[in-house]
Amino acid sequence: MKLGELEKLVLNYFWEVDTADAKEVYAEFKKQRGGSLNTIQSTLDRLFKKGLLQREKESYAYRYYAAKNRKQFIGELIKNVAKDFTHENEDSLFTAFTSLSDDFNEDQIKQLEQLIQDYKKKQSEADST
Amino acid sequence: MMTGIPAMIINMITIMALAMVLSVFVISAYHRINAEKQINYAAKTYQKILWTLVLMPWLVGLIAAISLVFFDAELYAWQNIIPGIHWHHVDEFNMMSWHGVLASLVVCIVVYALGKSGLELFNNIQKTKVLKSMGHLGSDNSYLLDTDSPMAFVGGYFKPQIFITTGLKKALNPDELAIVLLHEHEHLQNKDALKKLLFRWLSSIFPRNTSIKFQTAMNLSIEQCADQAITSQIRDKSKIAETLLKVKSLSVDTEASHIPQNAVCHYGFDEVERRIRYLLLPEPDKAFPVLSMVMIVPVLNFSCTYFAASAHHLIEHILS
Repeated sequence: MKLGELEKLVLNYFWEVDTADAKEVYAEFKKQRGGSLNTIQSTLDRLFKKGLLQREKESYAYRYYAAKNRKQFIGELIKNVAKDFTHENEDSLFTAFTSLSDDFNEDQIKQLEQLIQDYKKKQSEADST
Repeated sequence: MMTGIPAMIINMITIMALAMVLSVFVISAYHRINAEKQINYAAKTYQKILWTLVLMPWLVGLIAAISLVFFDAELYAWQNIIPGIHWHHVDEFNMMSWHGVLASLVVCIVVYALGKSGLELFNNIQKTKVLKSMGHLGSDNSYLLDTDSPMAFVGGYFKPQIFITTGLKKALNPDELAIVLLHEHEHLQNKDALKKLLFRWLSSIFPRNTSIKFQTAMNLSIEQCADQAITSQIRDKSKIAETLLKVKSLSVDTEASHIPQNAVCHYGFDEVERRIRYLLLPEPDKAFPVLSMVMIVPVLNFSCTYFAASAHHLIEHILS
């Protein structure tokens, strides 16, 4: 996913407000960085096509709102970045690996905690001698 | 009919492909038998073993191609002792033959794989840029990302950056956070993300299962090396182990535990139990198996060269 500078600004704007139409967004950005209503409309359209904004028609204009909140968007982006260079079929193997992680139950945690305690004990004995 | 240098290059590609088939098979079998021995080696040593194993088919293929194309006359002199170890007409290549089909197939696969990886890499760079722009650069040179998922990782291959989430930052005390950041700085300094990517590309010629096993083993050694490296600054290894366990416990049952770790280097994954044991128990000291490698490499080279030449003759014989 590639996001242009204006797209990022517009997305950030929608994380601050609930909904807005192209004119409202234009009014906000006209003060900050100039540009035309057309530029804003095409930016909103691109963000909609990328699935980052959603829209509903109100009389003749669309009202836009963020498809995901900031935290959700970042969480999904992290997942997306991490999923690169892995293939669908690998999922089963990675699932096996992660399910091992999921099986990381209390017993295992206790075992490891015990290992750490034993290490600490040995270290303090070694320090005292 | 193609002649001269272009024909020699395509002949080399064909020989390389045939030789690599056998070496991939032998190395996969070797690793299958020896995979459990990872615990006997220090992480750095095992990394060297893994690099040697994934590089070997490429090296063996190249040596077989050079031997059969540039030393054809010398090999031909050995005909009485080792019959069949030569390549007919190295400076001629007929595209309308089985050689042509094989060479075209290899070229198509390589072009497809390079194109696909290049596109994935480009997309990954773009996404990492977006991630960077969504974060706030802190005084510790890491990007803080506003999400509840407790994660710290290095993203980006050519200009790697440390990313840490607000979810993790909130859950850790300053000492634990320092440990996590030191660990990630190790990945950054060692360009581990790029190494992982290169390793993944090189190992992609192996069967999928073997390739994944290689990558999992490499990921573990990279994490173990980063854990070990920070012990020069955090003398008390138990603190590192406790942080590791804490981050792991936080990750379980959150979305973070379902994220594959191939494309990023991150804290709190990669068989935590083995990492903690490796950290706290005496470091294994088995040396790099120089003797085995010295013995394996020439034998494998010879076998693969012979296999390429013999496969060539066998197919010619069947088709004639």
